[in-house]
Amino acid sequence: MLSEPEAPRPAGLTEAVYAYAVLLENEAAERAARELSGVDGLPVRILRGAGTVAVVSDVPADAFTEEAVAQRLDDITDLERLARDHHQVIAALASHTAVLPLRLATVYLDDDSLLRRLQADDSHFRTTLNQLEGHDEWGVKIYAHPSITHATTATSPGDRPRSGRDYLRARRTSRDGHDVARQAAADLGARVDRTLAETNLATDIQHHRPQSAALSANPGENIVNAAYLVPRKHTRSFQDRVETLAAGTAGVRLEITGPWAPYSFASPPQEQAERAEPAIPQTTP
Amino acid sequence: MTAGGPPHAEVALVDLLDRLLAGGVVITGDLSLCIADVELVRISLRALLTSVEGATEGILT
Repeated sequence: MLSEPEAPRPAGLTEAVYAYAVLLENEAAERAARELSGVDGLPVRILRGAGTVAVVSDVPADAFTEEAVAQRLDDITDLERLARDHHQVIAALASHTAVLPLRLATVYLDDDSLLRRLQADDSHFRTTLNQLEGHDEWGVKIYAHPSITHATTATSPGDRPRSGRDYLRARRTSRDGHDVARQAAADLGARVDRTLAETNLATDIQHHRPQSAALSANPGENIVNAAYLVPRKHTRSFQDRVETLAAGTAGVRLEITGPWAPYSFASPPQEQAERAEPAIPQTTP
Repeated sequence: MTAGGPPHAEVALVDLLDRLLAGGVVITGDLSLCIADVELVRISLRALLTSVEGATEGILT
């Protein structure tokens, strides 16, 4: 991945630089950062560019090679630890100023290497940070929850179908109920998008892939998993509006998460557009 | 992701991973970012699903 040969590293020196976020110079955030511990409990420090700063930790290089990271992501315990360590630093910074969160496990050979990349994208980072100032990301998840509309047709566990035809009829009713609820959830999602855009309660929208039922561990099937960039002064109105829209819709369940650092809104627009939806392993019930 | 659900103060791991694996700025790194976006998501989802399936088996059997 190196575009140019790196200066030879002194033998025995095996540290690399793990980067969490980029922000504009901000005294309070930088002071807070120096108190934080990051991935693997390692201390966090500030790396100063020209106008922007990167928040980083020095990590053992061999712990963050492609292979080592792949292994970490493949183990639920390691994955969770890495994700939470990374997130903790970003969340702490985001409480002080606008941050541009970097993708999980972004690692450089040394400070110079990172500074060169920062320099290359400097104007883009500044523009984005200025746009993000005063905004939070909020998550809105909409679940199809057919039992809410079809409570009367639901069979209790002891209620066995008396014939094959009864069984098939029950199956069909249940499937129709699911279809209706799925459609209601998708329609609600579109209505939420439209309303938030029209009222300027959100300035940007991203859709994540729906969460598999097994992972979300919540009742219902996740149909919409959206993220909204919300001006902080509109936080209350945003929540009220979304809850009101959901309250008028049968067969769905709503979940709002946040505030988040603007993870879903950190990439350049063209990159967001080009990014293909990753295939998700969906677990079927 | 524990049986009783995560404590309320802590964000759910699935919500966090939606953002950390599919969001955030990608500026080419020297080491780990050789792993493509999609791979990152796929690898970790496999870990998640495996752990969930394991937990479910434990509860049901």
